[in-house]
Amino acid sequence: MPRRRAAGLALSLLLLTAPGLATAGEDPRTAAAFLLGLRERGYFDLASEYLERLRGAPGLGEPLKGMLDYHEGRMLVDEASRTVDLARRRELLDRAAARLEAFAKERPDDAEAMEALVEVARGQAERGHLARLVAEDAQDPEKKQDKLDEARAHFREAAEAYERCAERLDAAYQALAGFKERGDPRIEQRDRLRNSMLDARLKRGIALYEEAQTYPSDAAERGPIIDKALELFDAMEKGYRGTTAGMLAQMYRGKCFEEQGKIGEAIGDYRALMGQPDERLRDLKRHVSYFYIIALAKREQFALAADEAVRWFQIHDRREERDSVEGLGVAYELARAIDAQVTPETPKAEKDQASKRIVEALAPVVRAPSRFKNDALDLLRKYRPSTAFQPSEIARLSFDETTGQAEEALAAREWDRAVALLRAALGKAGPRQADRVNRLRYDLGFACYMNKQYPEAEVVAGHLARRHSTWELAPPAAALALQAIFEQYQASRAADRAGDLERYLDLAKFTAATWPEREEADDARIVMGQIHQGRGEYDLALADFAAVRERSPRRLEAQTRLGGAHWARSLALAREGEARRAEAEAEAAEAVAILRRTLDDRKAAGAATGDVGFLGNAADLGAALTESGKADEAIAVLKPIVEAQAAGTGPAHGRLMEAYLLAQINTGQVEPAIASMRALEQSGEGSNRARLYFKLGRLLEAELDRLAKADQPQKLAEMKKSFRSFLMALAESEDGQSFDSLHWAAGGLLSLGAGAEAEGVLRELIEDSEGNAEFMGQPGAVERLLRAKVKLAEALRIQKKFDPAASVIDELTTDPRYSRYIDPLIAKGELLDAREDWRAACAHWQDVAQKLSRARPRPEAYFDAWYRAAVAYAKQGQTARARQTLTAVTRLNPTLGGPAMKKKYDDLLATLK
Amino acid sequence: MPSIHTRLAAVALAGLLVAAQARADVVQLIPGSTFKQAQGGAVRGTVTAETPAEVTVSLGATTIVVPTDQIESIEYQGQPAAMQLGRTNADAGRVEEAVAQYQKAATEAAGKPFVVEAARFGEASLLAGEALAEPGRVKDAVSRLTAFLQAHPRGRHVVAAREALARVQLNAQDFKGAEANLAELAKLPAGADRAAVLKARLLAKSGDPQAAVDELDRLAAAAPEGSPRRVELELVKAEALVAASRYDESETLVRQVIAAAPAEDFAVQSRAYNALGDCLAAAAKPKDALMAYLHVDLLYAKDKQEHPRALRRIEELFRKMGQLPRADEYERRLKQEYPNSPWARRAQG
Repeated sequence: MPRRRAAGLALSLLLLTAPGLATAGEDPRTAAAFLLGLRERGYFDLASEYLERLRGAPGLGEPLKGMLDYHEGRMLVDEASRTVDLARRRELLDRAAARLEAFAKERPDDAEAMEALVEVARGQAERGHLARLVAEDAQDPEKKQDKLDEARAHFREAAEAYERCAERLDAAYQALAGFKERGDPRIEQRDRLRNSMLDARLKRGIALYEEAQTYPSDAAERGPIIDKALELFDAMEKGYRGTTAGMLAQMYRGKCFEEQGKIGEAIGDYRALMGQPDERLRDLKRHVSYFYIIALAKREQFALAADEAVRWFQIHDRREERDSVEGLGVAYELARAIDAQVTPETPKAEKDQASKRIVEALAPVVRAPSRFKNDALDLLRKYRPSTAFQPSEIARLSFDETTGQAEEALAAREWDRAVALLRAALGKAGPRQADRVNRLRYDLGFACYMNKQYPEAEVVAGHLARRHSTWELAPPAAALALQAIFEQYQASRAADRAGDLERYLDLAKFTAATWPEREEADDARIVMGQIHQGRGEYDLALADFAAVRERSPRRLEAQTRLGGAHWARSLALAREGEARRAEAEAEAAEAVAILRRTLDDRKAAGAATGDVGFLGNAADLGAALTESGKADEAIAVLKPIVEAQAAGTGPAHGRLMEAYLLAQINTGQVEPAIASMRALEQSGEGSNRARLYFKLGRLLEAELDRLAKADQPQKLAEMKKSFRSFLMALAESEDGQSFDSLHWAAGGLLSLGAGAEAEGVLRELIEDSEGNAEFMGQPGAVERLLRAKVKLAEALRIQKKFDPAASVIDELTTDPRYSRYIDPLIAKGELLDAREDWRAACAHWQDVAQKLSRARPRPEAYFDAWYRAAVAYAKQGQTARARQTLTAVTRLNPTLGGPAMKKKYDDLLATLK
Repeated sequence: MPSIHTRLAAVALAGLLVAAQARADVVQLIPGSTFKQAQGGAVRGTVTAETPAEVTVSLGATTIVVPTDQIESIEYQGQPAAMQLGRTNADAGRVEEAVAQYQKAATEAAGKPFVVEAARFGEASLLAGEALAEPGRVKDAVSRLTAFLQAHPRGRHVVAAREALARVQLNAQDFKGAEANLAELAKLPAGADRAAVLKARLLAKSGDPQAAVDELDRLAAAAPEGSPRRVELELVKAEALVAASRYDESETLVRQVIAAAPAEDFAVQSRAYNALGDCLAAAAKPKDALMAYLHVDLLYAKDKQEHPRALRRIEELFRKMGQLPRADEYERRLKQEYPNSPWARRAQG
């Protein structure tokens, strides 16, 4: 339906059902029509702001109040269909689906609920378009195919959803069919249902047509889908001839004919529609005349196609028309038609003229994502090969030529060329081009960023943001400059990272203060909060996260981070001791409350169970509850979420499982914890993995101890088996791994007597660590490596691989780096014990004891060395020497360093009597 | 059953009446006129007298007196073709051509004083419109209107001419001249109301907005609630409140007007939303002002007086906000949709 007519109708309808006036502010009688007008103009920023005002209007009553989600959802779908930023398009579609589905669920009986479902289906179709565009842009054939498959699935789902909607709408319409007295309010409702039903049917056909486009042109699958679409359009055209729906169906019927190679029939349909005199059909004719041009080109009537394309631009001279998909398509067809007329025999002057026209036509096409972009780029390269990169060549270009080539270089992702051309264009800009200078600067900043020239990007974009803050692209420029600083921060440790952070904070503060109502400001607030939190400036971080606007798309994320900041603050306070315990507990309670509320809000907003933000929120809440001593509550929160997870991979899932595992460990659920650990291993990367493993290991150790004491040998054996497999899984884990976690795993394996496994882990650990310059440069690396090697010797020893063990120990004892450490000597003594070389062992242990005798207080190892020497005496049958050794040490050191050692001495002495 | 002759006689009489009416002056009434003696929105006959308050039309033995505020235009029997051409050109916004045609009509209608007066007024009022957009033409417009008023002090166009002159004077900040002119307008029975409103506007512009507000309150109290006159007074009062920097009061008042008027009353709503935009812009709330003007563009574009004004204001605001493509788009639309509107030719800013 033509927009103006639609707006007019909408206004009349809305005015007919005008509710009572709000006490102040916006007029609710015209609000919906005004929103529609803003949407149709593409003023989504203003529409969004207007919705915000309506939400905040104190006197706003029903039905408008309850319809705001519906209006917002429709607006988001519209915006998604027009935005050229594909990532944003996806985000908008997600938000739209959440709003519309929530609306339809909450008000299933409203007439608008079915329209909302039609919009949800439209969102699916838009996702299909999005996937198709990504496929067009993809360089990797596999990714291209994946995206085409995805697009196909979306179009198919959209077609099915439209069909369901059409059936429901038709049933509702039929219920109101039949004669009604003039003035009967049901007439209006009936007409509305009929229009929505026709709309859904038509869109179903279009979705089928689009689905067919996702197959290669010669694919067999295409035909049956086009046949189905054609049948549907044909029935609609015949059933509703003369109506807008009938005419739209006729247009698409023509398109299906075209697909089937019936160009004559297609042109017949197009001409019939183009001949319609009604000015209100402008939008329809815009599409039809574009299709007509395509059909002419297919019939190789290139001269006529080019003329029609020129005429198209004369008639459709509004900016939104030129920038529409059809506008870009017509420009591309114009270029193609001119190109097709150029032959080797064409005189040079004409060729030059044609070349100029082709380049002019293609310039806007290559700048926007569309299905013509790649072909347009190829054609453009044919007429403007990238030979102008030489400075001398660039110097010869005029301002307009330079900017034109720069735009093409941007579109072709030739960043270095774009940078050179944009710099040259800025140098050539005179007073007449003053209004274009900022745009060139912005493009230069972007090209520098993409070319990894981050400092340049920061300077150019930062200048625009600060010096031209009222310019429309100033906020995106600020975002670009911030990202450029972030990249510098990330790039190198040696660089001035502190300075980077300060510059980041400064610009982020400026962004938040200058455009407080924009999304860039919210982005800046979130990053500022993260920086402040990282610095331990919790008050600032809390203020940053809390300042993110209520209606910001990142509001829930900000709230989650706000909860996280309260939690971090509570931990910091707890570290300060008992004096601040109450404060810490209050902060922890606040963190839990915010995280819980945010999780509920996410659920209410219809967040998908696999949504990254949702999982992160749940994980944070679970961890905070567990560490607040409410692990049972954490389990209650997390269990249904974990069970609802379809995908078992990804960092977000990993975080969720970590939180769940932590809660299980804290509630002593050993076997479920092991199961979670396995799930965690499959989920990919994670940040707290080693910490968790330690905790889980301790839990398992405690369980082993309990079972041993309880004299449950069967269960003990099972638990040992579990512990062993857990340790092996830990050792084999590729993510979240550290020296300490592997070292600990090896220790655990040794405690279970799994020498071979421990040996494998340790050898790999030692080899990797010695080859890792970063590790070796860390303080304490030598000592950590020593302990690993000592453990390796132990692993070899318990396998009775005495010679290799001796080699390891010899290496340690002769290495001057380890000369001041006692560990190799103890390992050597243990090896001698294991070899039952009691004479050597006795001497060695005495030597070790002498070495340790100077330490005050005397370490446990000192007493242990004398103990082992006594054992060696005893093993040689020298019980008197053994007893004498023990009693001498006991006389001089009555406590023997602790009760455990004293007991050992006493036990041995008892055997020597 | 009447005989065939009787029927033929009736047909002949009807034909004669139609012929007589075709040769008469046609007084076209304003749309929605409440005047009861009209047929098909017009009164036909011979215009015998014109005063600032009324026009007297004779049809045979009948005399009809039509109040001037009910008259849209008069097509005089035997008026030169240039008169109609002048009107057509004026309606199409071709000001220079219209002025030339009116001048030609005035020359050709010598001896037909009502036609000459109408042609001279047509010319002068067009020039007044031009002077509102182009300050360089103020002098010419003022002298032409003054000359007209001197030449036709008791004609039917006096009230409209004095009102046009007052607008030009106010726009050019000739407050003294405007005051004298409004004093004359107030003396005319049909002009007293207009004079009072314009006087209030004068007070607001000349630095005494409080006096303007008081005067408007006095006038509004006498006007029926919800009447067009009351609405107009309230909107002028809103302007005066803006001049007094009482933005909140002004905004409240205009929003009340918006809420009280039917949403589909595009004439009131478009004026009110433009007034709201002016108020919010003056209160340094450009985004709010933009929203107000956009209401006119998106919902009430039917009002061809107010719509170009809104387009210009939207263009200016977008430009101020640095949204140049949108500003350019509005500038283009203004020029395309209203090529001859003073708002299209008005200097930016």
